[in-house]
Amino acid sequence: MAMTIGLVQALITNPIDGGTAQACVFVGPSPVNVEVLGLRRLASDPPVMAAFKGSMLDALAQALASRREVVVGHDDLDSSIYSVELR
Amino acid sequence: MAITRGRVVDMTWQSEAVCVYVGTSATSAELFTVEFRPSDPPFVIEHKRLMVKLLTTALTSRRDVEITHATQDPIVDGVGFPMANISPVGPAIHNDFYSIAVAGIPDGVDPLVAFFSTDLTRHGVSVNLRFAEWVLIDKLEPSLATGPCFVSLWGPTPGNYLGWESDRVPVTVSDGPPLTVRTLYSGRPTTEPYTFVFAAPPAISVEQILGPSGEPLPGYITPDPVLTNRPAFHDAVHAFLVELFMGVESLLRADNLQAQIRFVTIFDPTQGPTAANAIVTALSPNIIRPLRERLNGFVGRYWENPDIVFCLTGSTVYGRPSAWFTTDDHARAGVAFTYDGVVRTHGRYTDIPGSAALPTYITEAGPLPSGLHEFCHAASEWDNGEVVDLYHDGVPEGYWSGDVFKNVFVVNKKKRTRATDPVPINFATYAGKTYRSDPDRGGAGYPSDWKSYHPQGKTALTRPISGTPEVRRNLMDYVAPESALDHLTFAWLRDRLRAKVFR
Repeated sequence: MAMTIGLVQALITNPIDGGTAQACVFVGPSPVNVEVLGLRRLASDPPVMAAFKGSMLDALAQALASRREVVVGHDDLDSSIYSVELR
Repeated sequence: MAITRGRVVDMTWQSEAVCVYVGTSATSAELFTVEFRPSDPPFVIEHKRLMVKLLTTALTSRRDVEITHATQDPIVDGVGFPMANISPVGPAIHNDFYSIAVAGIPDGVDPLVAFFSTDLTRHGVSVNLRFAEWVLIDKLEPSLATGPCFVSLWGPTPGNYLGWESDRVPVTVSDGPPLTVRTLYSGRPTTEPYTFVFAAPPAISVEQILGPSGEPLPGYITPDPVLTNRPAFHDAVHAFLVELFMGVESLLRADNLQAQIRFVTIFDPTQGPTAANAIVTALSPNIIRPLRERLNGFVGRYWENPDIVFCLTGSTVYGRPSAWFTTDDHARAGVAFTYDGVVRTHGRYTDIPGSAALPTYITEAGPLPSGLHEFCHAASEWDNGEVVDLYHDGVPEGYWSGDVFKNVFVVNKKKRTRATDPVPINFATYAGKTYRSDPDRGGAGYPSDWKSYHPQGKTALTRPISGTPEVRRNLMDYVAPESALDHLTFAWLRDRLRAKVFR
């Protein structure tokens, strides 16, 4: 389990590709020092999971807009986001 | 696919469709749409709903967006917030710190000014400190108009009339109150970035003192005056950042460590003079010392887990700085090293942070710069290497931990058997390299009754006319702006910091 702390420097939601919608989140202290993390939403996600992932993406967008620090949880060897904390 | 970039200037919801106008103004905008269709499966509806939320956030926060759409088609397929080349950290508040992370400032841009601009006004604020990846304004001046505006960095460049200017990004200036916990720079994007906390102690624990007849008196807790003087706290943070990163000694500039360290300030005027808030202690006659065992509890209340805590006291009576070493988290992995044939470990993680207590009245103008000196103590470790003072003869040998006497390992000081013995040529072997001793204490000479001796210092051309290299005085011996660490302590601390910063 890894956590990445920083500001959300950029956020991109890509167009739906088949049954997958991928968002890329750039988290770090400055525009040139970021970790690229991902949030993948699947057509096969149950409604609860879909809503949860959507709310995390919304929180990250709010953090970006308000310049608040976030702590993003993801697996050690995987950039897939599973938790978000706003500070 | 095409990408259109601009500001969202208007959005309209009607007939199950959202119209989004992207451009520079209402009269110069391109129309895009997000249409919710009865035939859309739930997954697609959720995607559209999220895109509309992002666009709404972009509208309300005045952020630029990049809309992905098919060529010649106004239907929104994707939404992005593109990266600017500057990134303000936290809200803009009068009389508070304000820092801006920046993706590289071209060489020669000097001085640097932050411009806060609206359609009608442009207010320049001088940048007070400048690092490779971020800049700091010590106190955002209250003459700055409150409300929404855009901030950019600007500075003249040699031979360029217009100078260099960063992107303009939207911010909202407010008149307060300043934040209790302020991140100046969030540090390496990792689980536990190596963290410096600059804390204003709410209280001082005054240790037992003697009465008029020499009788012992009980100690007491008193408010630390720093909480009544926030500007002095800001000035002191500025001064210590200058000392740590911009002096002769390059320890913290090596390997671009400064761009990976997290910096946080804690100034909480709501806290009263309680024992838990007394994170420094005053010792007769004038020493201020951190209470290391209380630091985790204090900073933990503010969700911080630092490696180093600088306690900046407002006391003018107890103004002599001091520090405590770090206690590493020995249960977690470290980086092994060999010193004089003994294998030890640079711990990557911290159990009890290293700490230094420093008075706020030490500024760039004096009286004595000691932040980096105290940091070198604080960054070293109780059991795996202490960096100690060299201006006295004592060499710590150990301490009692319960019933067990534990020997300590000192990195930068050794002892001869007799004061008359010659200083050995070699001081120590660290990481396979032999470091020489300092034969004459940086030119000052060892007092005739001293047994202790030091590692050899660095040389510098301090006499440019004659060109004669001169040994710099050792920072742990003689606290002065021109002092520097010796070769051995520099190498040892640099390796230790690398182990922690890049964990």
